[in-house]
Amino acid sequence: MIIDAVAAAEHAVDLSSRAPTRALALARSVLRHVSVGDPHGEAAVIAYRALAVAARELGDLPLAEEHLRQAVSLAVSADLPHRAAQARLSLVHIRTELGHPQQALTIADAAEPHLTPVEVAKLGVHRAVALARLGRYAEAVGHCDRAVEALGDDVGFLAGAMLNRGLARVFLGEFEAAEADLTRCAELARGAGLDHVLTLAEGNLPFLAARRGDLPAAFTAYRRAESSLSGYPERLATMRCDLAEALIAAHLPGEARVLLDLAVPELAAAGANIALAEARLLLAQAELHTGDPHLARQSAERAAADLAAQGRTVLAPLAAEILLRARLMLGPPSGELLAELLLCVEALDAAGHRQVSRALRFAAAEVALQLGARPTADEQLAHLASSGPDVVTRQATALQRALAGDRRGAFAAVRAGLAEVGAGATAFEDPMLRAHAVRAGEPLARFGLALALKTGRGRTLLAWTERWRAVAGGPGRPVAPDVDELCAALGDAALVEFVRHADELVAVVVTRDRVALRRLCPFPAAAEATVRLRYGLRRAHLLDGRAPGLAGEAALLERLLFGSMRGRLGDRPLVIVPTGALHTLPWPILPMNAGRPVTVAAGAAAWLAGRRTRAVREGGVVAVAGPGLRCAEAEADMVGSCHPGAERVTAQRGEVLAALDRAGVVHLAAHGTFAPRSPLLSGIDLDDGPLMAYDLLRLRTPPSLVVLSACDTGMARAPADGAPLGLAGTFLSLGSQCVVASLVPVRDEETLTLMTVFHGLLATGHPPARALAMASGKTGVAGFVCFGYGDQPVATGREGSVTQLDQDPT
Amino acid sequence: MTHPPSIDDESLIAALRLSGGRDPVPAHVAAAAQAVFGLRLPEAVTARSTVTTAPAGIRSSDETRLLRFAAAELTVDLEVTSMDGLVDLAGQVSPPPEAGARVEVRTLHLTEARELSPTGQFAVTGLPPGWFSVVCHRPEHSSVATSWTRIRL
Repeated sequence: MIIDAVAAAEHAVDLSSRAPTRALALARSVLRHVSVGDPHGEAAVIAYRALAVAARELGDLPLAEEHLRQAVSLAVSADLPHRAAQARLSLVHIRTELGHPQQALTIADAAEPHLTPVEVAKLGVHRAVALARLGRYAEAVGHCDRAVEALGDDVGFLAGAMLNRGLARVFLGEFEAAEADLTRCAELARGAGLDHVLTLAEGNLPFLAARRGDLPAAFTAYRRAESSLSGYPERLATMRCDLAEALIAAHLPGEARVLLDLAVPELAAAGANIALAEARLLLAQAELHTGDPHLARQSAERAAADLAAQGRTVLAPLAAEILLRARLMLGPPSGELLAELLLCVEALDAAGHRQVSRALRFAAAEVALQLGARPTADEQLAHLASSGPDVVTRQATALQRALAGDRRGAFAAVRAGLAEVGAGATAFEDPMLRAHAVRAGEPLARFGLALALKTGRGRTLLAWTERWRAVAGGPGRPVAPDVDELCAALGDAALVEFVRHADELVAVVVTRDRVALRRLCPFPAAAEATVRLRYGLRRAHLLDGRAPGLAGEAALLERLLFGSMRGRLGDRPLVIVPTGALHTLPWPILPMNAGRPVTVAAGAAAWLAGRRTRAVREGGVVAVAGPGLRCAEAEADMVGSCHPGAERVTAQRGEVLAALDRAGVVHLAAHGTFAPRSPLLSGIDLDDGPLMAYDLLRLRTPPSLVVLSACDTGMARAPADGAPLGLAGTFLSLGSQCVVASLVPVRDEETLTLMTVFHGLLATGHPPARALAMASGKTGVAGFVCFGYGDQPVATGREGSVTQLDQDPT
Repeated sequence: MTHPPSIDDESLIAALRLSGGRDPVPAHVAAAAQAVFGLRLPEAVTARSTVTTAPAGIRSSDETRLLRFAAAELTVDLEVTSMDGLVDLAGQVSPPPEAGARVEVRTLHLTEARELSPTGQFAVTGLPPGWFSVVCHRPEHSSVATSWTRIRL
């Protein structure tokens, strides 16, 4: 009987990490059959250990500790030193996660003399966790090395050793060795059916990828891990923290904050204090980067206190850094603050946080300049400029040269830095990841813009904003278009390129004979007016009976954005290049744009590129009617009757994609959706599911003109100017010349009315921008915008339309 | 969440000492309590959340995030959109209140005040997700505050 109970309890321990709920049941049944103090006491000790490990897996660290304490005290009173040491072995890990890594190491020392050699190896695996949490990564690797030799064929612990060693190596920056460890861990876990360890290993591969700067892998695997960890709240929360770290690295602090807001309470509830301290540190970073210094300070203070209590001196300077940055945002700098900044830089360096220390050193140099402490600033900049090379080196060099009056040299440093950032980002095929990857270059781009603004010259500012747009969304190189070519191409039209610099909105106005710079309103005023106008337009289109006064809002926005340049623009056709929130503005609704052809482009160079692709496209007109709309069929029929030879294609994803690759003009009448969090998941509803922007990336020869006759299809999120992400932006980046799409919800019947007039005008040779302006004027239906290059008449199959193609569009 | 965190012995003793007046209330507890107390608007009328009808006849399968709060004589409509993990809030107070009215969008940690347009519209961009309340201050009438609502992304 004794043997049986002990064997059953041992089996529960075996099960506890693989199948925690089964282990709980088995361990409880063992405990029901034995009572403390009787000869079966040994089985009870083991059963409590099984309960503890299972509780840990299920995310209840305090309960796990309670069970282990019980196991230890039972073992000690029954004089079972080996069993007590085994329980302590498990306690090492739990005490670490509860926030006492230093004490965990003491517990390990107490347990070691009573353990078998294999168990000592297992102890080493647990010690590695405590050491890594204390920042003693090299020692952690050493313990895992020794454990691997001694563990033999205990696959579970071998996998654990690989996992812990791999993670420690990530922190040491030994990425290749780390990858080998994590891959081996995943293989072992997969072979042994340890799904849970497998998930952890796979979840840490993207953590490694993120640390290396390879974000696509990070995003994909974290999404997978989210579903496989759904039963393990504390593990899931830890995973969310890892993803949040990757998101912060990808300059998506807002998204990171959402995840951390979920993870922090879960970790607190689980008692996972060690992970909680790190989560609060990340949260503080996310809060700081989303412009919330008050909260960032609170979170950083809590993180700093936790880290100090846990003896984690390696991470402590990171909390100090956030506190200092929050203070910089909250108040004017002082000599005292500067001194603290420089101390923190040293602490960060000593703890091995080189990138953070370099960025903070640059901030310190800027503070020194503000305070007039020029020698200090010079010293810090010289330090940065002579080391590296990275973006901060370029920033420091540029600032040094600008201070010395060498504007040309400063621009050269900015250009060199932007070229490096752009070259790094071209590795990403996914436009969303590319757009985020270049954001590392934003400080440089801002500096270039600031210098350009100081010249007061429109041409210089245009060149620098275009260079950044080219890096973010175009060729990846900081190239600016030829202004003379641009002026000539515009003909009678005017191009207005909006540029945001800090809280200021500036415009460059380009006409045939002039490039002028205009300073406009504060940017937030324009952003809020845009949100109000969109709100009004949406409510009007939703017909909920409370349509607010649109005219007043539109007039106000027009004053803010065009002010004094309105007169100069007259009734010229307009090419508009938006920035930030202005990507969501339906420009034709401004009163001055009534009847005026307006085209919205991602940049002047992008507009020019659209103009250059004026070759006659082979392929005719294709119309598609999506499901669930009363007027879609009629609209597709209308397109067919407007353009002889037009083809109807059923609303199947495969057929539509094929048609998009062969047709010259495609009209899609359907339900549309914009996904603000992942703009490439924006889509058009078809019979067999949505056609998403991601699906379009497979197209080789997209149509010259795409009409997206649906809600919100022109909406874009521009993580960096020059890379508007969404359906329209995707078509254009793939080579479509022009996209007509909506920026708000549009009504089914009204859209049919508008599109009927629009296609009639297209068929008679009017280019899309003019046709849209006229159609909106005649029908009074607003919300649609012409994107890309809208002055190219369309080959529609009707006799005479092809000759129109040979006309100069200006 | 697996279970609410249980109170340990140390915390229990600390709580007993506090309630017995032996220890002062820690500064951050008092500050947090004051901050929450400060969010009260005892004189304001509360506008409560009411249902909005789903829009029909539009070319979107999306649910728009429209919220409506109604008090006896005033309705506050809100639309929530999000970009980069931050929230843009646009809305309208109807009927448009008298000249000089303004709204405050309050979160737990910051308050943004805006003048209302003549048609009663307002917008605030870049708010953190979380709890918020909109207060409409009117020169001649009592203020109206929407019930606290949580925006999740």
